Amino acid sequence: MALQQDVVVQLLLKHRGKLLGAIRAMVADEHLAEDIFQEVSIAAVNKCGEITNLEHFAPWVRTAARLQALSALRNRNRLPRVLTEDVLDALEAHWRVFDTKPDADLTDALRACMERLSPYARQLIETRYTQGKRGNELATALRRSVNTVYVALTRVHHALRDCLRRQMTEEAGRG
Amino acid sequence: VDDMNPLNSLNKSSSDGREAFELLALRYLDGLHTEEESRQLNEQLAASAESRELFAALSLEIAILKEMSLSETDDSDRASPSERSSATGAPLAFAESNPLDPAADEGWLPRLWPMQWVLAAGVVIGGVGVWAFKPGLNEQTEPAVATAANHVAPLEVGGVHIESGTTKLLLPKVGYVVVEGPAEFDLLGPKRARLKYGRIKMRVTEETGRGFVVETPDGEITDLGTEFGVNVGEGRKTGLVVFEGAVDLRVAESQPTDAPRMHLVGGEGVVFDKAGSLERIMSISTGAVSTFRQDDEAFAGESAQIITKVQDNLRKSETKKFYEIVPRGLNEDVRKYVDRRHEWNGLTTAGMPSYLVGADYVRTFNADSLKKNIAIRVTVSRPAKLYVFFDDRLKVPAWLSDQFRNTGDKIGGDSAYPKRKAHLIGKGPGVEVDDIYSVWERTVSEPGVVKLGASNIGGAKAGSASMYGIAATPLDVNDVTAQDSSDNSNNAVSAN
Repeated sequence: MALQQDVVVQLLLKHRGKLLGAIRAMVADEHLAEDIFQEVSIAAVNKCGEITNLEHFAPWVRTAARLQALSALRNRNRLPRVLTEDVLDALEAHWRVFDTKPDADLTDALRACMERLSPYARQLIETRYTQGKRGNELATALRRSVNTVYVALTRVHHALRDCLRRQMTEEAGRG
Repeated sequence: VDDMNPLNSLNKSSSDGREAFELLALRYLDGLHTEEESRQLNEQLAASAESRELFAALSLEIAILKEMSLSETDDSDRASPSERSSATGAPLAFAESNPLDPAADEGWLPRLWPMQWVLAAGVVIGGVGVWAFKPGLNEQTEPAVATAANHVAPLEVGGVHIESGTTKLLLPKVGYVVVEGPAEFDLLGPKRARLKYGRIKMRVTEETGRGFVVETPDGEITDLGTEFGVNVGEGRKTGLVVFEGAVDLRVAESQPTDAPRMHLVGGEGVVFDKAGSLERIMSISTGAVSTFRQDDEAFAGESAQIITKVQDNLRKSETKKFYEIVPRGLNEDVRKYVDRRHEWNGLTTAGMPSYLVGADYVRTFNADSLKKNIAIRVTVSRPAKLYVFFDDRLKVPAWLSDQFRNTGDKIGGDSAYPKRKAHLIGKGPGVEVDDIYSVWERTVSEPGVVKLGASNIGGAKAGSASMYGIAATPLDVNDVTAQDSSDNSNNAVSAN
């Protein structure tokens, strides 16, 4: 049975972060990803009859987002700079792993991991994601070269991911 | 260096190869990558399931971190997390300002009323400012100016009050509306809303949405299946522009409710007030803004806009059509005219000349192609290259050959005549191109007004002539210097 509009809205709320992550991977542009998510949200609510069940929701949104992304990227002549359709097909299975996990669970786990970071690592995350600085702007704010900052940021992400995985494993063990 | 290893309390990274891949992935997700780097990333992702797993997890991690930062920024500004999450049990984030909006530079978030108030009014889809109002709400609304003290009141009908930024509201069984702050927009019922002040762009997508009414202090607008924009500003007349379809306008106090309404169709715009004054809007700007700007408005924060105004010599009583300026909007498949669905495209699959991609351009009226006495004045805000795309089927007029240089480059017109299979709209460059235009260029070394003349001076008949296109790109300093030394007098450019 198809999902009702209210249910679709709630699902968009619950899984917004993860869906945005997948869309950002499609377009390599934070702002364009937001625009596409808005368009796809409207489509999902208006076409909720096409979404057959809860499991179908996230794949439906990603498929709709891919179509939107393709059009937007083609208009901007950016297709040579993003992931190919074959790679996106292959990534779909990896995104599905998280489909049933609400953003809230991931947020709680990440917040716990953040507390274990060094002050500099936290500053890095804060400057990048809370203040929204990237590239040269990020490097200037931290008084380091772009390369140094991005290597450090890579390591922070790596550590957070390891921590997140451990948290999820422990949680699954408790469950 | 110690600060290169900030994760003393967590695991250190493993192999250099993996770190290099993660750096590549991070640069890609931040949009800092080159074309070569995207090729490398594609190769690695295609070759390795482990890389794909890592990439998917990284993209998700970044998105959640961003969401957390939005939520935390909002927490510090307004209610506590527990208060704010009480309505849905889900983590909440306020609407993010539109990245294309000039107000976005002022901060991450537009100023919205408390989330619970909005939740009571409808359903928030997410922190991006896409909201859905529940249908069937038809009771009288509470005052739109909610306060933190009344945010738990179960309001039956909703609205939005934003101080900056933009947000998109879903209206089930109607369509959607983009609200640009500062604005106060209230949904009064399933098919009626009030814009007290601010700017909206509304699109009715459902048949059941026809007849939707937007009230303003100066009059009310009834949708007839369309997309239209409304601008209510303090101390100024209300602006109404119709992008597609048609609307009826009834001015507030000058006419009784059963008086005839003014009918406006796509491409027409007016400013009006409650006393009954009504004037044509000559040009608007869209593109980088989510709604629109009228031609008499300052473009604060949009310094990149080159063409700021377009005017013609048609009497205001003759037409209500507006020129649409699309800053940085020229690209494949963009709409050519305000009054037709025709598109600009490259002649071949190689695309349009690269220097035109991303140019400001003007959507003119194809219906003006046969007007022999039309004069168009284009206001250019800074040094620029101004382009005219002129139909190769037409005789070149003196105003063009005297003041512009034919670059020798071409651009295509993809014409749309739904009833003629030979003229379908194609997708991408070199597809379904029907007409060929020469690209004419001139350097405008100072801000000013450039006058353009008629398209058709040779007696062409309808259907064998198209109106020209107008575009502009910024001029760099070297170009200005070169132009000044070789051409420092041009009587067609006058100071503003």
